[in-house]
Amino acid sequence: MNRVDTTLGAVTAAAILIVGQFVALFTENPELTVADIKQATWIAIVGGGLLAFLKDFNAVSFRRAAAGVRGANGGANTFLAFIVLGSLVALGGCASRPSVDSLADVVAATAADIETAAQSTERLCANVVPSGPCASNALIDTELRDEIKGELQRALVYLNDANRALAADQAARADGLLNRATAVLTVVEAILRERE
Amino acid sequence: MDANTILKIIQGLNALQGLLADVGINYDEVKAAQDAAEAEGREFDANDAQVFIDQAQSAVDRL
Repeated sequence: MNRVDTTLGAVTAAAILIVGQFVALFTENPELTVADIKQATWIAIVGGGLLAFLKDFNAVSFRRAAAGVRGANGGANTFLAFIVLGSLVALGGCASRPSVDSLADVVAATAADIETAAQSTERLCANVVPSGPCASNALIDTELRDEIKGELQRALVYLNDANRALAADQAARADGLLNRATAVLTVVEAILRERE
Repeated sequence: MDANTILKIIQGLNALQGLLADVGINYDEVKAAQDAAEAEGREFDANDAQVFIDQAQSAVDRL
């Protein structure tokens, strides 16, 4: 069962990476079709997925072996990884995003992404009061919730600054700040991947 | 598979279902605001976007 679970976790990590790469590729190039994707890009994406699988499999196998010596479990929470990382992929473009013809549109869509990330984290933590501890049977622990909350706050600071710059007709500054906000959302994904 | 694992799976599915609903609702709200601005013959601007930043801030504060 452990080996199946480990393999499933590694496959999930690889699949999420591959889907994420495709979402990013098609989001950045709206005119792109599957037939137009170059061979080198295919190799990079699929090769990256394979490496993610091997890395994840080895990491979890080692952790299980080490935990076994200590008499602990040490397994990855595959299902949690699937739910949370899958949700971020959905945020990245699987859902129908609003049109983003202007910087104000991008600000609003990014705010919606942050709101959704916060709502899903709240759902997974099941805390009763704001900043309160996660429920004992929750899918994430309080420490992870706090990490995610901190990063989402950071993204919101950039987003607020970007919107203020936009209101002041400083488009270039707003664009830079928006990129930072998006980068922080990527960090949230990395935190969750690390915890998997 | 023990009862705890099954419980976690049910919780996870429930969370996923809720998440998908949240994504749709949040994006729909942005689209509705964009459409409203267009109907009024103006561009969706920073003031409109601020509403969504405030909503996101409330959601993060609840965490």
